[in-house]
Formats: sequence, C-alpha cells, structure tokens
Amino acid sequence: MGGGHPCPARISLARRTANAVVVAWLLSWATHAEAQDTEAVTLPVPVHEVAPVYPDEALAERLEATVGLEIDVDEDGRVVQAQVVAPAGHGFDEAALAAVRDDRFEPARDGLGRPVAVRIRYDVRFTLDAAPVVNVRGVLKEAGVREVLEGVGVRLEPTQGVEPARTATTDAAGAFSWADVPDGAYALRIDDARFRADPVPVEVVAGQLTEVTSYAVRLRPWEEDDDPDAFVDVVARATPEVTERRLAAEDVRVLPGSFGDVLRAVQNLPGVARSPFGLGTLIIRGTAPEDSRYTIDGVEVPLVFHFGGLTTVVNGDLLDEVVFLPGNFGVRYGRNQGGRVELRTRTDVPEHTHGYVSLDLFQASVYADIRLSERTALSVSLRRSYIDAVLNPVFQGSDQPIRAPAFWDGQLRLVHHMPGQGTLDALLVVSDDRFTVLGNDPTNASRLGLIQTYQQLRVRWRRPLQEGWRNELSLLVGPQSQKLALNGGQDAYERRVAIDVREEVVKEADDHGGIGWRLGLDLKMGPESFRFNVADFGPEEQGKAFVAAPSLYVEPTFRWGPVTLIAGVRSDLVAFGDVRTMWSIDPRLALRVDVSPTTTVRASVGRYSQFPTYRKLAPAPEGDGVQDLATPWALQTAVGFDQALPLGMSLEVTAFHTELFDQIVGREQRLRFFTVPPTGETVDGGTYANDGTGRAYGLELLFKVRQRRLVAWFSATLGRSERLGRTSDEPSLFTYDQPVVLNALFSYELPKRWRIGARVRYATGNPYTPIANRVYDLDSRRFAPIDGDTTSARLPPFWSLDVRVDKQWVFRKWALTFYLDVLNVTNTRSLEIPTWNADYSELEGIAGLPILPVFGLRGDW
Amino acid sequence: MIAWWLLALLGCADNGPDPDTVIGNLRVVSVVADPPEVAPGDDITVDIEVYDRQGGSIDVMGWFCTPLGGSALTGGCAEAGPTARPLSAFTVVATDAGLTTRGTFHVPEELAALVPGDGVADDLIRPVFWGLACRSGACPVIDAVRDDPAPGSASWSDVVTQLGRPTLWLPDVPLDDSSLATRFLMFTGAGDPYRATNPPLVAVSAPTAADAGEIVPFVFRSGDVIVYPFASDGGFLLASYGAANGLPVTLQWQAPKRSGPVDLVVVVEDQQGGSAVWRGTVTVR
Repeated sequence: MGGGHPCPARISLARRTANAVVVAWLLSWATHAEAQDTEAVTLPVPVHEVAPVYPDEALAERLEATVGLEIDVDEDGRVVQAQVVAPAGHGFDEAALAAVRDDRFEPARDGLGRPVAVRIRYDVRFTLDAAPVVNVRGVLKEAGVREVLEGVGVRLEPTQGVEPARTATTDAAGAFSWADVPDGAYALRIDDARFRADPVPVEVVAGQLTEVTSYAVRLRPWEEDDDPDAFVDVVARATPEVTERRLAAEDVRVLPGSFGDVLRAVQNLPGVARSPFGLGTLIIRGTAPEDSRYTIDGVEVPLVFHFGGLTTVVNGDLLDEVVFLPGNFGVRYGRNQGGRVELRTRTDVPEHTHGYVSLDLFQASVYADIRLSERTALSVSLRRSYIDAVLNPVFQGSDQPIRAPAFWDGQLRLVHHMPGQGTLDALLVVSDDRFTVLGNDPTNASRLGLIQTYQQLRVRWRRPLQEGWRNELSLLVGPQSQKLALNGGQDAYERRVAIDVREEVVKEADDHGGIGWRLGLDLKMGPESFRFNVADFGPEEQGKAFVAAPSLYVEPTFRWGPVTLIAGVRSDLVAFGDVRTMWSIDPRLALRVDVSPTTTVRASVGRYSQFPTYRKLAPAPEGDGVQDLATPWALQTAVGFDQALPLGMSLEVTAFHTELFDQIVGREQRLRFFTVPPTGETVDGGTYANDGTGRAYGLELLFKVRQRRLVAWFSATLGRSERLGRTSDEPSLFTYDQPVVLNALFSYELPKRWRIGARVRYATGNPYTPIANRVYDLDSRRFAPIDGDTTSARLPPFWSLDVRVDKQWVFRKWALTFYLDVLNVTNTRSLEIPTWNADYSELEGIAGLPILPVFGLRGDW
Repeated sequence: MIAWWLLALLGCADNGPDPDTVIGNLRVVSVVADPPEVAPGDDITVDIEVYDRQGGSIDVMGWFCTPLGGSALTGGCAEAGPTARPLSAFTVVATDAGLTTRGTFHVPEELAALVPGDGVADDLIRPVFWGLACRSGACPVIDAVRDDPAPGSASWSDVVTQLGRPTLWLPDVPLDDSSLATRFLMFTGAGDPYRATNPPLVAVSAPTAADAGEIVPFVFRSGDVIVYPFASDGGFLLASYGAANGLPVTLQWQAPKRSGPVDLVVVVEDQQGGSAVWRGTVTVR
C-alpha cells in the first residue's frame, strides 16, 4: 500500500454486529495518479458481516473488551490481511480475527469514485449486552431411575412457523441449552436411538428463561437395532476354579420359580438335587446339606435362607453375582466336603441415589442405594416377612397353637474407593428367624420354638500392590445363635461369636505363560457353647470352649500357553479349647487346557476335610470322655469341558466322583435343629464314631443360551449317592439320592417391558425306607412300624411346570414392576415325605406344593 | 420334634369321619384276657378278637411270651420255662378261624420270682400276650407252632425264639395278609386281694339301619374307659371317646354314600389291661 498517507482522525463509526461494536477509521490508501484530493476517499462499506463469536471463557467470566485490528481491504472489497494491534486476550483476539477475515466490503473509493485498496483501523468491541442470551435450558434424565444422561442428542422444534430446529448434546450433567430462541411454542425431542421419549412442549416467552426437565426411557438392548436376536459374546472365565457356575444377579432375579430371589436360581443348576417343597435347601453332588457352605464375599455365614427356605438372608440388590462351586474348588476355600455357594456383593458407587420398596406374598422390603460422593456409597436394606400376620386371622379361632415362620433381616453396606489404595467396604448383616404362634395361645407357646439369629460386621480392604500383586484383607465379627425352647424348662442352643480374618495376596499368571500365586491366611475363631436339655434328645449335655481354626494356603498357577496347572495345598488346624486339637492337609490339583478360544478341557482332584463340630467332640453324657473322632474327608474328582457355541450358546459337561471317608455316624439326627421337614430317615442313635463311608458319582450337563432378550438353559444331573453306616453291611442309598434331575427354563423379554418365562423340572423321587410290617400295641392303640431294607423304596418321580410373567411400567421419576410366579401350573401332586395311614397299610405321604401363585410389586425410585 | 410350619398348615383337618376308624383289611382288634390281671399259678382265658373285611380263610395264633431283659431276650419266652414246656402250654392256634379265638393258659408258678416287689423285678417286662391273624399260609410261624416240635428240640428252640422276637420274621410276612397285636397284662402277687376285671360294655342304643351319608348316634355304657370305634365303611367322627363311671357315651358314625351292610366294632380299654368288645352290623339304605 505504498504511497498512502496516515489518517488524521476517526472518520467513521461503522456497524454493530450481534455481539460486538466495530469502530473503523482510515489509516492509508493507495492513490491513482489522477486523484487530487485524499479527502475524497471513502471508507469501505461492509456488505457481508460475520458475527464474532463471544469467547466462552470471557462469557463465563463476564468480561468485556475491545480488540484493535488493522485490516487491508482490496479494490474488490476483500480482506486480504488483518492483524491485531491492540490485543485484549481471553479469546477476544482470535474471535475478532476469525470474524473479520470473512467479511466482504464495498471497496473504498477515491475522489473520482474509483475503487482503491485501503488499510483501516478496525476496532471490535465485545460487550455483554450484545452476547447471545440463553433462554431455553434443561436437563435430560433417564426415566424410572432419574439418572442424568450424557451425550444424548436433543432437538428443539417449533410447532408452528418456519424457524429451523435447534439441536444440542447433553453434557456430563445431562444439561443442554439454546440461546436467542425466538418467542413461540416448541417441542423438545430426543435424537438418540438408545432412548425413547414423548415430545415435551416448551413455551418460549420473551425476556424469560424457560427451563425444562425431560425423561427418556432407555430402550432394552435388543430394541436399539434391527436385529432383535443379536447375541452377546460368551465371556471366557478367568478364575482358577475348575467347575464354577456364575449367575448374574440381574438375570436370575427374573427366572421362573425363583420369586425374584437370586439364590433360589442356583437350584436349577446341574449338581443340585431337588429340595422338597421347593425350599432353599441345597443338596450338592450327593452330599448332605450340612456338608455345603455359604459365604458372602468369601466369609462364611451360618444361615443363607430364612426359615421356610423361600428367601435369601441378603437382599439380592446388594449382590453382583452368585457363584456356585459344586465341588473341586481351590484351596482358598476349605473346611467342608460338599459344595459352596458364594454371594458376591457390589462395590460400585451409583450414579445417583435410588432405591425401591417391594411387596410380595411373603415379605416387604425397603432398599436404598445412597451416593455419598463420587467415591463413596451407602446401601441400606430392610426386610420383614408377614406370613404370620397374613395367616393369623385365619387361625384366630384355633385352640391349637400353629406355628408360622417370621423373619426379618437388614443390611448396611458402605463402599469407599480410594485412588491408588483400592477399595474399602463394610457390610453389616443382621438376621432373625423364629416361629410365631398363630391363633389363640392357651399354652403360652409363643415363648417356645426355634429361634435363629446372627449379626455380622465384615470389613474388607482390597488394594493393588506392586508388580502385579493384589491384596484382600477381611475381618468379620459377630454373634450367632440358634435356640430351641420347649415346655417344662427344656431348651437347647448352640452359640458362637465369630471372629474371622482372611488375608490373601494374589498375583495372576500372565496370559501367555508364567507363574501366578495365591497365598492366604484364613482364620476362624471365637467362643462356642452349646446345651441340649431336651428329653427327646437324650441325656442333657452342654459344653463351652474357645475354638480357633487357622488355615494357611498356597496355590501356584503354572501357565504354558493354553495349559494352566493349579497346584494348591491347604493346611487346616482347629483347636477346640483344651478338648481336642485336629489338623488336616488338603492338596488339590486342577488342570485346564484351552484347546481353542471356544473350547476348554478341565480336570481336578483334591482332598476336602470337614472337621467335626465342637458338640460332637465334647465329652459324651454317657461318660466316655472326649470322643475320639477323626476328621471326615472327601476325595473329589472331576473332569469335563466347556464349549462356547454360536448365537450366545454354551455347553458344559462334567463328570464327578466323590468318595467320602471317616464319616461321622451317631446321634446327630436327634440333635440337629430342623428348619426343614425331617426326612424320616432311619436314625443311628449310638455314640458318634467315624464308621461311615459314602460315595457319589455322576454326570452334569449345562446348556445355556444368553442373548439380549433371552436367558435359557437346560441342565441335567445323572448320578448316584450311597452311604454305608454301622447298622448295615451293605451300602444304602443316600436320603436325597436322585439319579435323574432335569431342569429346562427360559426367560424372554417382550416389547413394552413384558417378560415371560417358564420352567419344567423332573427329578427322580427320593428314596425312603419302606414299612415292611407293623405291630399293633393294644394298650396304646398305636401301630409300631417295622422298617424294611434301608432306603430300598423310592417316592414317585417329581415333575412340575412353573411360569412367570413380569411387567414394568416406567414413569418419569419411578418405575413399577409387577411379577406373577406360578408354581406347579398343572397342579401335579407329588409326594415329598413318606407317611402312612394309621395301620401302615397305605403309603400316603405329604404332598408338595399345589398350584401356588406368588405375586409381587416393586416400585423403584 | 420341632414343629414345622408347612406341616402345621397342611395338617388342617376337614370335618368328615376320622379315617383311622375305618378298617380296610385284616386286623386283630383286641385281646381280651380274663382276668386281665393275673398271678403266678392262675388260669387265664384269652380271646383274640379279629376283624377281616375281605373275608376268606384265616389262621389265628396267640401266645404268651414275656421276653426277659438283656441276653435272655434271645432265649425266647419266660413262659417257655426253665425246663422246656410244650408249645401248647403257652400258645393257641386256630385254623380257618372265626372272629374270636379263645385260648386257656396256666400262668407258670416260677414267674412269681419276677413279680414286682419280690426283689427281682428288674428283669421282668410285664407279661405279654401276642395275637396273630394271617391269611392261610401267609405266616410260616403258625405252621411251625402247629407242627408242635418236641420240647427242648432244636426246632422247638427255634420256634420259641421266633415267638420271643416277632420282628425277626414279621418283615417277611405280607403286610396286607397279616396282623400282629400285643397286649401287656397286669401282673400281681398271689396274695394280692384286689384283682382288676374287664370293664362292662353295654349298647344302650345301637341302630341297625341308616340312610346313606347319615350321621348315626350309638350310645354305650361302660366303666372308666377309652372307647375305640371301628367300621368297615363310612366312619366314626372321632377315633376315640372318653367314658367315665358308667355314664353313657355317644359315638357318631357317618354312614357311607353306598348302600349295603357295614360291620361295626367297638372296643373299650380301661388302661389297666382290661378290655371289652362289641360287634354290630348296620344296613345302609
């Protein structure tokens, strides 16, 4: 721009844009030879203005500024050069430059009217009163759970006129906003395939801020796309257990026949015999119910089902998954010769506080998951059964005291995540079961009966260590007791104060090879006492001792490519006060070969010791001194394979064999606290002795389908379980021997949040000891039965069809779920316990449940 | 033992006849000893009362066999004697028997040593009388007794052992074809001035006809007894009734829905070993 002259003064106030005021004046210009008068030069006139964008930072801080520019406008009116000569910072400079570069001008002209190139001073002043005004804003939440939704597209459409639709995407807080929306009526819509929502009417009024909260219903996964049968991938297992069956809590809660209880679903898995009356007893791989253990996060609990077996003592919403180990588990677990069921609690922090209230035929529950911070959560659960309250009016006129179970439980869970320091969580579980008396109570029987209570506080710290190691430390304390009170001052109880410590360090083997380690200390201790002062139980006996049972275990894992060998050993010691000290060493070996990404072959063998209870070791009332008992144990062997199949299907087949040694026989049957119907099996009432042996063997098959809408499986257990006591030279069938157990079930989700499911079960009838003949005692007018061969007869086979329907209604701020679980739809009569008529000439039996509709309601907020 | 709620709930009874009062097969309904309280050296008459709904040929056998405690139990019956007595001394057998089979016995004098109060009562289990009814050929033990082996012989010892421990052979006898009952008798010293007697049993009102489904009262008088009624069909509303001091007691029998004759048996027990039996028939219209 040579030959130009400096501009002596501001010569023009140019324009006002949407958010800035521009002041310009001429600095220099190019002259034509024939031009005579610089005063005749005119400023360029804007013909296309680009509005500068008010910088976000400045807008947030409420800053105003003026940016001084020098721009060159050529003869065609284009901005060919621009620079900041008076910067303002805070993003103003860039915003001003970006805007001006795209401006177009009517070029400046000289006195002869010819276009000339000029340099002008061009000040852009940013003022807040000219910034865009947000006049519509809102928050998008997920309907039913009220969780804010991030990254979801929203659209504001005018209901009339030609105003274009405006779009936005929700931020981390679920918020969205629009500025300078003209007055009028609009509709807010969701632009996201994952959600569905009705349009929300929005009325924009001049000078007012319109705020709106919208709720979107999250579509089920299969509703998102056009392929409703798309399946989820089979996830390879990463745990050392050779036979481990996991059930996600959210899946099993809707299975038919479960009443929404997560643990009852385990009964549908292979390896579990059918329990009478649909109760919660777990009979695993031909072992007795008392041979199996239940744990919450690895720590044993004395009672996992409430009386009646209908409900698990821990609220299923606290659980992440249920893990079923029918046998051949690793050395991390010990002290039992049957199977194990582990309940694993959630440790996540919810996005927001939520909860529910539920009611069903048996109980009412209240649950809350409270978000204290982004790292800390508190969960509270309370449940109370009301079977007694429902039935009490029915039996109001009865003179006979009729007992019904009454229970309540509560859990308090606190989770705190510590960055770099792992997770600390505490779980308090309290449970109280008792039988209450219905109707009139002329004998004051309400103070009598069976009471089982426990309280446990468990604190766990899981943290990462250096070099790939991780650590888990658990501490549990709490009392537990079961008590039986009868007339005439008779009572019986067993009490224990649990003080359990578990410390474990783990390093996983590398995926491609190497050695992994698991080392742990498992300590159980505490005072135990018992007293049996019941005439039917025999002579009075009691005892008290401090029992300490430390265990050490080590489990190296060797991995060579697809081959994994786990060789563990567990050493247990138990000291029953000064009465007796016992120990055991249980070596266990497991082999897993990943033949292909979809096929795994596995085998395992191990020893599983199960110490006698303190009561069995205490001096016998007959004065025999300390009973000289050895530790019963089992040799468990299993071999099988897992096969992942297309379309979300999988197949698992396992053959197992369990040999039982040194089993304790004797008067246990008389002393056991029955919370389920006694089986009527023959009782060996003699002194305890290790005179029993046993054996169980069989084949388990599990075929599963897990798709987005469908959960289904077929399980089969074929097996045999025998026992040999001291009353016979020949083995007899175990009380719960069921050679064939079949379960087929599915749960399928329909549109509009309907879900249906059905279950078909078949099981061979339990064996029983038949009545060969009887003697009629004329003085008492009663028949005395004479047993035939032990367990030489069998009850008729059991089969039933159960169906379930779920429906969920999602409202803005809460959701309502209804379910109807109908057991034994065909009302098939099945005998559960053998009984006879008065003269034992006919087998009558106590039948199982008739058709039983169970319904429930649950409101989530 | 421990009440269980489901059993309790399922145990709600309806208001129909008690099924325990209906006899569906062969049964020894009572053993009536006269006198019901005996002393060593007494003679005693015992009636074995049988009910058989099915009909047909039955064999009935009765025997005294007081098992001694301890190892003596395996030796058989106290009545077999320190020196072997003939089986006929303490057994009675009736082939193709009727409803009542009578036997007469002599209580061995040596049992006096076992009388309570004489210092050696610990080994005594009160005298036991067994009554067995079998369909013909169903109970080999009856044939063995009928063969009457020579006292002291191996066969005799084997039979005595079987009589002392019926549970050895009873499981091998078909349940539907047999009925074994046991009665403990009162035992007293020879000088005891008081001897119990069997209670009376008088039918004050015993209808012989009823309409189908009708509830019919039967009225009896007896002593201080418990009344056990039985029927071949229909059924009594209660399995037992208490009666006291000769006052009338009313039993409610509900006739079956089908017509025809129904046999009734009423037994009273005075809890002292005394018993009495009444039999009747009602025609249901």
